[in-house]
Amino acid sequence: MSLTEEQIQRYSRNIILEQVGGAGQEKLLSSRVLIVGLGGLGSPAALYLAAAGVGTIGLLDGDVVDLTNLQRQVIHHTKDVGKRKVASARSKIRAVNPDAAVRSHDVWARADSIREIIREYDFVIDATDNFPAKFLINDACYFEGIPFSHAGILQFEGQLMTVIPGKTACYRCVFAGPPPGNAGAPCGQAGVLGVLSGVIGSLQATEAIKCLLGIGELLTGSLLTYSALTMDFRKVPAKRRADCALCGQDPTITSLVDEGKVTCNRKGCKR
Amino acid sequence: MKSLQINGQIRQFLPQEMPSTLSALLEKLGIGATTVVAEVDGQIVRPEEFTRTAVRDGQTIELIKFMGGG
Amino acid sequence: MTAKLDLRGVPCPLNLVKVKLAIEKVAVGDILEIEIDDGEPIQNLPVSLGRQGQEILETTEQQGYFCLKVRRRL
Ligand SMILES: [Zn+2]
Repeated sequence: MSLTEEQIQRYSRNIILEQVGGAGQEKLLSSRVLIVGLGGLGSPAALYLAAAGVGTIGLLDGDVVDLTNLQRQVIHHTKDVGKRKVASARSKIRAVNPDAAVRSHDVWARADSIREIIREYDFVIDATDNFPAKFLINDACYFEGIPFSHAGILQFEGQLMTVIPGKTACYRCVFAGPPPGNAGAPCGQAGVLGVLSGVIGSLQATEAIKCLLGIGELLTGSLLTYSALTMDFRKVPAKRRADCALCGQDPTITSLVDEGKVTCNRKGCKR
Repeated sequence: MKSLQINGQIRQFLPQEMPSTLSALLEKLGIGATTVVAEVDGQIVRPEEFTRTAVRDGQTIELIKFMGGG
Repeated sequence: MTAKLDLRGVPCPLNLVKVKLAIEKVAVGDILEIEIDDGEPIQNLPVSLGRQGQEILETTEQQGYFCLKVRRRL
């Protein structure tokens, strides 16, 4: 594979970086990243990965664009309200960079199908908006041995951690399972600062690119927390737990199960 | 005075007001016990262990929120 | 082995990108001959090569452009 004249120009700011170069750019072009969830986190992640020249971008989301999404889900435009999210995102990715091939998975992340999908990719971005999906992706990536980036957001705060399955702490090492009740549930009433998802989703794309290129130090073994109100970024050490139900010495989770969707019972909330 | 380092910041307590367990600490801080996991001196403590996890002067505690949004 | 790269008429920073790509294709120890324009290009190229850790063996001025012999070190 060799870069065309147009690609040399398009990716010149990547290629000139000591840690990327032509070989790195070719690697990105032959890489495959799956983005699960095309909302606040998935939008910037998809756009930046497309722009960077990641050759294959998988999009997994079974939802439709809603007017309330547009405040933060920047890959979807006003004219897209009512469209399938995967179709909306696909057209923007192709417009940003025709080098990026898009594979659309217009489904929800489910235990019976997610493993077959993710094994076709080199890296997974968990940009989902509910705990059952986050744990499902953590478990599926562990069983398939695919590195992934976890992230979650709430109001003015976000968190992020990269997991190399079997080597570094997984999501369950930190959070054993979904919180009881609706604690931390991504309820429309809790609200979220739109730009916060841009910060965290962009960090997820950064981790994907670093992992694909094998450069720098991944955000493994610690959870990065960010507060938009105080502008504090903190790294909280997160060690693997010997008693982790998934990646510990005596695992009790040995296959995928759907944990069921968290529903919100707060008044006026549609979830 | 007794002190705890909580999420990177030092919090001081009068000896008689120093919480004895993680549950008591969360209550004092007004944080719902089901909304966080805790890390006490680098060891992760799950919500079900909060009532029996003692808190001592000088410890470093991280309270990590469950964040399910995306 | 000596490879050649004519970058006359190629503006900054695209010329630097092309140098980088060409050097990646040259074996360590081999030489790349670069023809590059006067002005901004000839000012920037040595800095860029220095940052990459490459060795400039020779710079000769031609009419309106320069010819550099560079040995790939890294
Ligand atoms: Zn684990």
